Parts: sequence; structure tokens; C-alpha cells
Amino acid sequence: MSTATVAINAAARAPKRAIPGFGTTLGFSIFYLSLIVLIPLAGVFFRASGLGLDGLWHVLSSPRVLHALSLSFVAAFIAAAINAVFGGIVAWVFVRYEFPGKRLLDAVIDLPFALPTAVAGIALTALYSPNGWIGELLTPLGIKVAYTRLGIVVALTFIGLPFIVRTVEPVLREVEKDLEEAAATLGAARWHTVSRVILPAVMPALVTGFALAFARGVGEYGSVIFIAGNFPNLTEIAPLLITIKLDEFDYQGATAIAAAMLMISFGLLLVINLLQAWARKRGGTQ
Amino acid sequence: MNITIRDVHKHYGSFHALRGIDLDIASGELLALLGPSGSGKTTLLRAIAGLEPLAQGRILFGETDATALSVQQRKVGFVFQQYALFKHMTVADNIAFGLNVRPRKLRPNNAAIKQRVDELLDLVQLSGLDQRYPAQLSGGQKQRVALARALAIEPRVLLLDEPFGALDAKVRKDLRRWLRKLHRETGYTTIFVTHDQEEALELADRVVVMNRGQIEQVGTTDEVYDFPKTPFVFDFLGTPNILPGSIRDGGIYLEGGSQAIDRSERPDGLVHLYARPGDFRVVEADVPGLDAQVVELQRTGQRVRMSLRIAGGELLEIELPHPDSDNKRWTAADSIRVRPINFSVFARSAAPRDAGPEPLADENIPGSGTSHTVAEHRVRGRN
Repeated sequence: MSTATVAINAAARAPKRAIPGFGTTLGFSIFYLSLIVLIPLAGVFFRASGLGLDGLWHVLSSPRVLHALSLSFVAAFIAAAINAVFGGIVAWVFVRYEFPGKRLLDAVIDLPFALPTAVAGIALTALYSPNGWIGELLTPLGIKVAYTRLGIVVALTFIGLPFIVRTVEPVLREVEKDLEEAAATLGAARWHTVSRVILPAVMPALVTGFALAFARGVGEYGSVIFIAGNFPNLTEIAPLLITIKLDEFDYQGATAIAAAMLMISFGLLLVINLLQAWARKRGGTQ
Repeated sequence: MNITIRDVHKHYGSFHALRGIDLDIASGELLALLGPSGSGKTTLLRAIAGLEPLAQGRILFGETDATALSVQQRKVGFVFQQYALFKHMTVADNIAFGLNVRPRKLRPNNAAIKQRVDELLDLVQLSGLDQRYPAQLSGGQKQRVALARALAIEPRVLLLDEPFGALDAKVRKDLRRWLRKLHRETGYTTIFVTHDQEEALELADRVVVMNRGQIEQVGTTDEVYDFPKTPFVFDFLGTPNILPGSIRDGGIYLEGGSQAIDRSERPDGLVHLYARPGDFRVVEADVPGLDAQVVELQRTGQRVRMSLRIAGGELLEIELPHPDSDNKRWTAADSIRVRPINFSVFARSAAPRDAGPEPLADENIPGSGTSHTVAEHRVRGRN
């Protein structure tokens, strides 16, 4: 009798997964994501929906809003792209070479993470304004950075750098030296080794870093508003416009812009993620 | 292509990794670089490939001085222990890599590349796997892809760095046999690095035994195994018994034995006698030998391994056929008299295993013991 019970119990237990806790952890994850991310975001849409479709369209189709949105996304994209290239090189140097002061420089990379963004904005503005240290040198060349769209890109590049470096670094470290040596013995010139062997290996990490830097750039506010000058239809970014609307007690208008930003960001990040899944599959790492 | 290595030195900081290597490698030869880790064998292989710049010395490929050539120009096929396959490329793309990166005017057309890839896949017995990614292959398959990739460029020489080191024992054995066959068929000059003496002896035509950045001995597998030139080589190729002894009036005496076990031309002095466990025979009381007591026995099929305690208290490991020709079955605590029949004699120095490159031995007496009128208790091969 008791053996039969044991057998039944064992049979009932058998189909369970080898790693327990799937149900609990998934439940927790969904709860946590809902609480921290989804519910506040849903609130944005709920608030914006008060406008109705027409009202929404009215807000979003105003030239000032359209300009601010496109400026935010384009500037963030350019800054992330610049970082992808130069941040990639920085990561390469850190992984591959030993040099005096490396530890110190390594810590410097993370500063944009830690610095209050307003401080960064003020510092950048001071540097790039026509009488600042760098602005002084650029003005004779006819290059204006502070209070232009170029300034926005500079600020976003500053903010986004650690995202690229910190995501690419560990992956680059994983690319065995063997691979480069193998390519060299097979007759590949340095350029071929970089473009056909190293770059494909770090591409997924580079895309992740790009996505993170881009997302951060889209939402960035503090560092940009100081250097941008904030001229409507010229250097006014979407997050600032939201703040302005809030100051005018136009809560629905503010949430409408926020909702639009969310939708666009979500769409872009989804595309990037899909791209990455594709790249990873191609890399045979799954 | 034959390779000539002359006075090659390599330093890593204060560490002298290669100390004056001279080596001639014949065209079409299958050569093993054998030694413990840190002996410089991999460094030497990488120096031949051009992956390690040299402080001093020259490496010639045929008549060409390769020392000044870049890795790319040397055209060597290099196979890494950890495969080093390009993970984002298919097997076919991996193999074709060396052809695809050639300058346009030297690059074969796509059809020719595809044909070459197919031939190589056939050669390494991986036909049909051309569209797989490395992550989908077993270790043995990966290493064969790496080999095909190295062969694709028709290298001047094939260099293998511990090629089977990452594989399990069974696959390693199969691949060894397969590589031997491949070498016979293709005839590429091949140099491989290993720390596994069995692998070196089984696979290579000639073995280079290295220690501390120097070559201890170069020879055919028979030569290095049967006529080790230095205590290090003897020690590395098997686990010898090292018996203290001396040479007096042209006779070799073991400590604890009153009769000379063999003649010697060496000057008088203290020596060490090196003999492998299988090179002992049981002898009668009136024959020169060592009296001992059986301490432990372990039967392995038709042979028995015995630990003996000799007069001085030291332990001696020997291996005998079991049961022997007289149907004698040994048991623990038996008294036994044994005599080494194959052995080498090396002058006793303060630190025998740290011997330099100069052979200390001036005498090797393989098999000479059997020429004596030894009343042996044996002489029977397996079965």
C-alpha cells in the first residue's frame, strides 16, 4: 500500500522541471515589471487618452512638437552612432593594451554615469560656449557648438559613452587572441581580420550598447538643456517640451508627447532587439 | 618544404624561453615537439609561424629566410588547441576564409573556392556539414574543420599546437590515427606540439624532446625511447627506476650488489642507472643482480606490476610476464632476485634532472645485458 502511494507520488512529481521555481520567479518578474515599469507607463497612456484621438493628433502634429520629437530621436541616434564607433575603439584599447594610468582612465569612463546630468550640461556649456576653452578654438573655424543642435549631439555623446564601452568590453575580452592569429596565418591583412573576424564577434554587444546609449539619449534632459539654448523649432528637445507643457498646466499635452516618445522608443528598441536575435542566431551561439 | 632553424633565442622579459635552438626539419616529415609545460615547445612552434618575433636567430623555409616575413607572408597552416574557428561563419566559410581574403587578382573564383572547400571537407570526412556553424559541431569535428581551413591555403608547413589537447581520450586516439593517415596521403611537412609522450611516439617520424628552452634530444621515436641521451629524456619518456651505483675497474656495480652487473668503458665514479619497469628479469642466486622482497603486486592481465624493496630500503617498480615461463606465481613477501637488462648509465651529478643540454651519458646499453650468460628466469614474449 505504502509503496503504491510512493510510486504515485513519484509519478506525479516526475514531470516537474529539473530547475525548480520557474512558476514563482516568472510570477515575481511579471509582478515586478508591472509595478515598476508597466503601470506607470500605462498611466501615461491613460492620461493622454483623455485628449481623444483628435486632440492627440492636434498636439502631435503641431510643428513645434514634431520638430522637438525628431530632434530628440535624430540627435540621440547620431550620438549613439558616434559612440558606437569611438566607444568601440576605447573598449578595444582597454581590453588589448596595457599602459600607465589605465586604471585611472577606466574609472573616468564611468563618470558620465555618476555625474548629475545638470553638472555635465553646465560643464559642457562652459567648455563649448564661444569664450570657453574649446569654443574659443572652434569659433574662428566657424564651428558653433553651444546653443546649436551640434551641442545637443555633443552632450548626448558624453552621456552615452559608458554604455558602449561597458557592454563591448567584456565581449571583446572573450574574443580569443587565437582568432586573430588564425586569421593572420591564413593570410588575412589586419583590415580583413578586424572587419571579418573581430567586428562580427562584437557586433551583438555593439548593438546592445548602441540601443542603451540611444534610449538614454532620447530621454536625456539635464545635460542637454544647458548646452542647447532651447530655441523652439531649432534646439528644443522633446523632454524639455514636456516640461514646458507641464509648467503651463497642460498635463494632457505633456502626456501626449510622452506617449508618442514611448511608442517610438518601444518600436525602435524592438527592432534593435530583433536585429540582435538575428545576429546571435547567425553567430551560432544559441 | 624543409625548414632550418638556427640559433633561435626568445625572451619574455627576464624569462629565457628559447635558448639557442638549432633544428633541421626535412620536407614531408612528421615531427613532434615534446616536452613539459614551460619547455618552450609552443614558443618554438609559434616562432616558426611568425607569431612570436625573435630576439635572435634565423628560420629558413627552404632557401628563403622566413625571419623577415610577416605571419601572412609565411603561408603556414596553424591549428590551435582551442580550434579558433570563426563562430559566426559556417564550416564552408571557415575553410574558405584563407582563399576569400586573398587580394582580388590572386583569389580563385567562387566556383573554384567551392570546389576546393568540397575537396577539403571530403578529406577531413565532414562532407555534408558545410552549412553548419562551429557551435553545432563536436570537438573532434571542430578540430578537423580547423585542419581543413589550414590546408586550404596550401601551406608550406602545417603547424599543430597541442591539436588534441582539448579532446577526450577516445576521440584523441581516433584523430591521431586519422592524422597519421592524412599525413601519408598529403605529404605536408608537419610539426606538432605535445606534452604527451605516447602521442609523440605513436604519431611522429622524429621527436624533438625539449626542456627549459633547449633541445635535449632529437631522434626517431626508437632512438629517443631506446637510447635516451640525457636523464631528462629518459625520465620524461616513461617512469624509470633510478638506481644509485658506481663504476669500478670497468664494471658497473649497483649499490647493495657485490658483483658487477655489466661491463663499462666509462671512467670510475658514481653513477645513476636508469631502467624502466619492464626491463628487469628475475635471475638465479648466482647471477649478478639485486636481492629484494616483494612488497606489493598488481596483476594487469598477462603481466604483473610489483613493488620491490631492495637491500638499501629503496623501492623498485618492475613489471613481469605473469605467470612466467616456469609458471611461477609471485606473492607478497616473496624473496626475489632481479637484474636490469636494458638500462642507461648517467654520471651522478648534484642535480641529475636539471642536466643541461650536453649529454651526460656516454653509454647506453640497451639489450647488452641479454648478451651475457644470464640464467634468466623468463624470456618469453607475450603469449
